[in-house]
Amino acid sequence: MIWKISMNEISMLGLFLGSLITGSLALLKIKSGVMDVVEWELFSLMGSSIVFTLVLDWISLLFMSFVFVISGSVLSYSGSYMAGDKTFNRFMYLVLAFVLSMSFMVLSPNLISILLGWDGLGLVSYALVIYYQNEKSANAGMLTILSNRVGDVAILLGIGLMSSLGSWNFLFYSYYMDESWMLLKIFLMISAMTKSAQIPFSAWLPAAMAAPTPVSALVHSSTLVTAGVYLMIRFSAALEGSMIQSFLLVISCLTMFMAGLGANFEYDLKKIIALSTLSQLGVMLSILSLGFSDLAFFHLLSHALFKALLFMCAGIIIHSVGGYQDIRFMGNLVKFMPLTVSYMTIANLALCGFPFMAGFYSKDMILEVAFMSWINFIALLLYVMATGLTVMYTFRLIFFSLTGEYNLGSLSNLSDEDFLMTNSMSILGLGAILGGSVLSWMLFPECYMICLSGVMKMMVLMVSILGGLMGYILNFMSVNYLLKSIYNYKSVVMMGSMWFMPLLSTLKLSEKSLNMGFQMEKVADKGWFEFYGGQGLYYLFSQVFFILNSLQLNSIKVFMKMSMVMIIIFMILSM
Amino acid sequence: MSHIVTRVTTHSRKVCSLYKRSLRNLEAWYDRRYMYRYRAVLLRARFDENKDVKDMRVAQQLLDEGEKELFSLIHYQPRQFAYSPGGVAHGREVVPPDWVLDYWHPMEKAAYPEYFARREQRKKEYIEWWEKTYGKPAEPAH
Amino acid sequence: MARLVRLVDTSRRISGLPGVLISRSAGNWNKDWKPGPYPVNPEDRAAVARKYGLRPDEYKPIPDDGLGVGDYPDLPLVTAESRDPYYPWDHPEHRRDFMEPIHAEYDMYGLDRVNASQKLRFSVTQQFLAFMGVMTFFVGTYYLMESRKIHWPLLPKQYPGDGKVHYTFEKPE
Repeated sequence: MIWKISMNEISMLGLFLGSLITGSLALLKIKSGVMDVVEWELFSLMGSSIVFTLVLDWISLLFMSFVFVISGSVLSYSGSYMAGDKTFNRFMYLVLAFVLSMSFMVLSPNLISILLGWDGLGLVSYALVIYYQNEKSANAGMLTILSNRVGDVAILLGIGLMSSLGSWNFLFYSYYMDESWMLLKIFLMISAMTKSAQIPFSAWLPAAMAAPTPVSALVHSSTLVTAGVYLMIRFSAALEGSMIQSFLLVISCLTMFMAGLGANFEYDLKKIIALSTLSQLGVMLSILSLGFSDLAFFHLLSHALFKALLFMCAGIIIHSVGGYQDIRFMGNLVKFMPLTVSYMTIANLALCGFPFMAGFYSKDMILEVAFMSWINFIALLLYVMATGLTVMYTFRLIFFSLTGEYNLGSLSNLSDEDFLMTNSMSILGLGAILGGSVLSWMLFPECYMICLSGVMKMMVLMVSILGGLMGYILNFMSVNYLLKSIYNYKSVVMMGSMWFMPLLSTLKLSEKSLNMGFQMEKVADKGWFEFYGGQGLYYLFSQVFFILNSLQLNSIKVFMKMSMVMIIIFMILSM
Repeated sequence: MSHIVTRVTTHSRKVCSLYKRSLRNLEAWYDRRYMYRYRAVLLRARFDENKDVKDMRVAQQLLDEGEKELFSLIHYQPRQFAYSPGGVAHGREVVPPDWVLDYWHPMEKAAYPEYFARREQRKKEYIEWWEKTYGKPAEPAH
Repeated sequence: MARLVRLVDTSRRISGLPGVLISRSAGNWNKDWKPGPYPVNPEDRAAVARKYGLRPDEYKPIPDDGLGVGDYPDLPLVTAESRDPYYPWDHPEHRRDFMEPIHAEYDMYGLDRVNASQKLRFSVTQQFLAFMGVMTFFVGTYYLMESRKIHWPLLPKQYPGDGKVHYTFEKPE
């Protein structure tokens, strides 16, 4: 009874407790450097043992702790955000199912048992995207699940390949995979790319914003989309020195750049944040493909903190401006909701890598390490531009929604006095400020040695400042009586719609496959299958039964004919 | 709009529709109110220029050109009202229609005997009222 | 199989409950929905046009290729998504009117499917070429430069001996 009434509070407390436990266990593991592996052997078949494995090392436990703390805050937050909803309990159960499958994903180092969590993530995320029952959500959910399905199939194929090893534990085998395991590496890369929405598959992440905002805060910013990065981190030993690395580098850098550009021309508040998530996923995967998986993990954690916070702020804003997500309907929110705006600014600054916020420690380090290593020029260029673009779209967001002129339809309930929502953001707000430094002290007991010339060292800061200035001033100028973007219509549309990717991966693909299915039905089902299947068998059987019928008439003529035929056959055979 | 023309749309209504859509498009591009107003006044002036064209051929050509220009400058993410068709929150909460209750299984209906008895009564009364007001419905030719 | 069906049927009758549904058709079917034979002479065509609620000059049957479309009219495809959302449709969830003749494959293009009849600002080919162009440019340049990775020197070059010239690059005598 009490569970049904205050489901969100109880689960929040439980999750926070879980976070504390896993977090302290992770601290112990970091200190001792021990990895615990729990294995149940289910059965063994033809020399390959099917085991259910849980791995408890500091990476999985720390990630679990972050998942728990974010989902706890989000559940408490949705107690107010989803309060008017009829099916609040369904929502709660879905989010809890999501946390469960996320834990399966994080804790399993085994390709079969990871599929359990991996598929669970896809399924629950589909159910959460179609939580609102309009056509927009249904279409977005379809796009989400079908894009993710590609990755699921890739993992299944990987399982098939790995069965020749006798075990699916990639945590151990990844150290011994040479070039002959290229196909498996490609499959795992594809599955990571779909989950983390890298370029050919990136249309689903902005589309998935049809989900309720708490879901976006938990699922589509901090946890689910980083599952691909997590898989690659676990698998990073096998990537070392293979062709995959360079390919993943260019794809992730392009994703970063494309998302940064797209966010600069996007108008939907949630989609801007989703594109910024996409850009940060690109950062994680690119530094991973340069060979620094610990940095990718560090950025994954600190990014989870401030991106969830950013989405939660966006949720409060959307709630109080009355369902609108378009930033053109917002403006001057700083006068009405100072607390939310300050949280949002904290999260934004952390995202931009403002010194000593959470993002600074991870992003700055990633960029400096990338500058320091032997790197392709295009990748470097995309890095620098994407960093500038990040600051640029952040300032554009601030310009449009937080400052500027009041642009709203009505003055109704514009306030941040919903304490359930604002209180649940406080932990993440603290995390967005302190998370980076704490994590960097924790994860890197020995410092990374950064050795760069003065210009390169200042490059990140300069590019960020330049991007911020450009973002603010360009918006100031481009919001003008003579709009510049109309004169560059084609390129603006191309950048604003993510290089036409959403349309290509929805309309083009589904129209083609629908038409193909229609033709197949026409030619096969109604055509040849009918001709040889239904009608053909009918004809055949009617002929056969006609003959059999005549046998049953006991006619002497038929028997004589048959005996004549027999005699002739015997004569031919005996000759 | 279906392919079957069931309504006659006058020329002036088409022009008004074009004007409104152009205004909405401008609103999507020029998001600050005063800039939008400036552009809107200019747009109105362009429409007013040709308001006295009496020759329908010229007017039709002007309309076609206007449609073409609007299409070439259509915004890639138009401003949509949240609860209107095309908006983000449109149709989020589905209200099941009333006739769903008629398709309940008799066992399910039996759980609420009073309600369904009254419901049947009301339906009968409605049909009576309808036939008294509008007469018996004609049998459709099958 | 027959025994199973009979069992289910009996159980349904005894308990009075819907029982276990083991098989049902996916949808209702009505003989009125079956199209008639392909019309040949003009009188037939006029009659068929009246049956589908079309004017005789509007009516044009789908060409008979022996796959059983019969006399169904060949109507232009206007998908649900490109229809006016503000028009008071009789079936707003499908955006169609009662007794309205629709395209033969209309169920393929509902609100939750593709909008195949929309007028795109840029055609799909243009969009595809633009996307592939950008991708090819970046990926191609990336792989061209893959053999020439860059790296900033962290310190000036160090040679043994301070200021001593090791290689003068002059012709050996």
